Amino acid sequence: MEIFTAENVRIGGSAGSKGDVLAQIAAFAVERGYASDAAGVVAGLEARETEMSTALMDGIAIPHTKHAAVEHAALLVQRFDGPVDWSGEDVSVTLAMLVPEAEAGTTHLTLLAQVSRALIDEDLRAVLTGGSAEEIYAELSAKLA
Amino acid sequence: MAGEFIIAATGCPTGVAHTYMAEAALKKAAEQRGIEIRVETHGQVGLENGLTPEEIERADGVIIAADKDVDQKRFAGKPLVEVGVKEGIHHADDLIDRVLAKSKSAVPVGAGGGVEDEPADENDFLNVQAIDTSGEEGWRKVGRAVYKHLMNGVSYMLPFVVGGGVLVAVSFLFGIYSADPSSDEYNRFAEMLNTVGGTGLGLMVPVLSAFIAYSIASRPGLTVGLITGLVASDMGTGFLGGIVTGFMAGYGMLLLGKVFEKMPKSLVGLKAIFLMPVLGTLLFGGITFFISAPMADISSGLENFLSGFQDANPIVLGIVLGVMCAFDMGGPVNKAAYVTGVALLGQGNLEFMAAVSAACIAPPMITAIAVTLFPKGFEPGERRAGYVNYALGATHITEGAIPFAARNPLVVIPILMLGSSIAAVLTLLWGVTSPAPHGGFLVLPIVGNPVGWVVAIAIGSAIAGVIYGFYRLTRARKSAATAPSAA
Repeated sequence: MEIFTAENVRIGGSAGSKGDVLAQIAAFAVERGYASDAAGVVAGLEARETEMSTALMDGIAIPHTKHAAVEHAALLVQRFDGPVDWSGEDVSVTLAMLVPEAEAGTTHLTLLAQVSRALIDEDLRAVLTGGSAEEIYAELSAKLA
Repeated sequence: MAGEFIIAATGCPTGVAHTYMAEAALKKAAEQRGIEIRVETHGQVGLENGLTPEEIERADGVIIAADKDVDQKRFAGKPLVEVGVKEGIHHADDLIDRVLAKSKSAVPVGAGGGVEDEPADENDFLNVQAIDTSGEEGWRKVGRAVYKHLMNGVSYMLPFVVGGGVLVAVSFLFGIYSADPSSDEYNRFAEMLNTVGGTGLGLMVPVLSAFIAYSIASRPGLTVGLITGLVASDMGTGFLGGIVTGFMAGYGMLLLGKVFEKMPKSLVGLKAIFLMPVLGTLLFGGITFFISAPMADISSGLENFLSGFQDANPIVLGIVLGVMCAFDMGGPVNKAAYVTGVALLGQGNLEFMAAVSAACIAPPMITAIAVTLFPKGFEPGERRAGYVNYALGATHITEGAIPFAARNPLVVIPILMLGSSIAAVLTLLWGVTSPAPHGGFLVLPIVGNPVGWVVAIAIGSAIAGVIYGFYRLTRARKSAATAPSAA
């Protein structure tokens, strides 16, 4: 199963809170077939957030987890219409990274590491916050190549 | 400034994203300034792009941006900035500023190579951390490890000598009997200094023993090493006894731990808190007790031997006194010379005491002169302790020389003996008299022929100081030459 496809980018929608965003990410993952246990994915993401908020700069957050509820590694991008309060910071774009607990190989982790490194690049962040779904897909899949 | 090279380690608990963002941020910030950087990452997949010892050696500074352990010991001695992983992402530029500022204010590494390096830990006086035991094979490796354990003990002992010694020395400024309540000179503050300082000096041998054992066998070693060291010290074995008990306790406890590995599982819980300390203390404390027992006899035997010498040829007597006083500096042999001196003082023989004092003052003076003339031969911490030995020597605190002797007793003690002997022989030849059993140069006003005494000590100390300093310098150069070059 592909870690990232054009369907993994979703523009629009609203969320009331950080918890709401995490729930929507989990539902998105189930919908796309990366997981079947949405509650488990939320639990994994929340556990990570309690360690340290994953909000970055420019309204971008990278919620992520390595959890048993994840069946296939995934990168899911979602941009909301307005910002939500993310442990004190405004976040409107999420790049969710999901890795199965049992994952033995390092391929997916390496890909996600690639994406993380790329986020330091301002141009990529500008695309994430302002670009179209197609542009976002093109930029990110180039980083995953 | 061109040619700067920074290394960094990033890591976070999940190790999926932040680790790599921090890596990228640091690389970007460095690239924008034209600084060379190498970053290792501690992510979910484990360590990637691990820094090599050569890179660590070459680096001007280290940035750690991590929320997990990244094994900092490797970076000992390097300018280091440590922050959480998010700082690395958001303030990479600041971090580079900070580490470069630190590296510029750090003590420059001199041409002497490893010898000039300030140890990473300012309390690691002998740079024990830097003693590398990994490179050698077979017996050489064992020898290197033994040396490291010994150095560890000496390094922990050093501040006790300095702290205790200086307080005792200061107490003498109030009068050499000022700590004695029955004396006219008695001063309560001086008594306090003398008591506290004396306690510090008294802990030297136990601490030496304890931290040799700790270096070998960690905590179980510390317990038994401290106990056996104090037993040995109380029974008068001097610092040589402390070295013996330290190694015995350390290797003994390692062996004991191995023996207990084979016992039934039901007893495992008892091992660390009950069996090891009780049996270890019994076994090695018992051995220490019985091997230390003859010390008192050795001392009194030597006293009798020495009393018979008091009218001997001054050259022969001086050499005997010098050899005895410098042999163990506070141990049974030194004590025999000192006690005999005090006893003969009671019988009106003032020359003998003057010679004993000269022989006891010389060893710390020798080390002080050696570090002054050959600073490059010594570790920075050791050098500073060496300067303090002028004060300890001047107040007849022979113990100041022990940390220097303990590093390499077989070579250093003969050198100290030579200096002490010269000082004692000249003192006797020039008819110096001293009515005081201690106090060093503070008793000069009541010494007969004080100039002769000081000159005798100075000549003996200078000759042996030059020999000792030259020996250390040669060794330091040799080890710098064989150490891996900074590539």
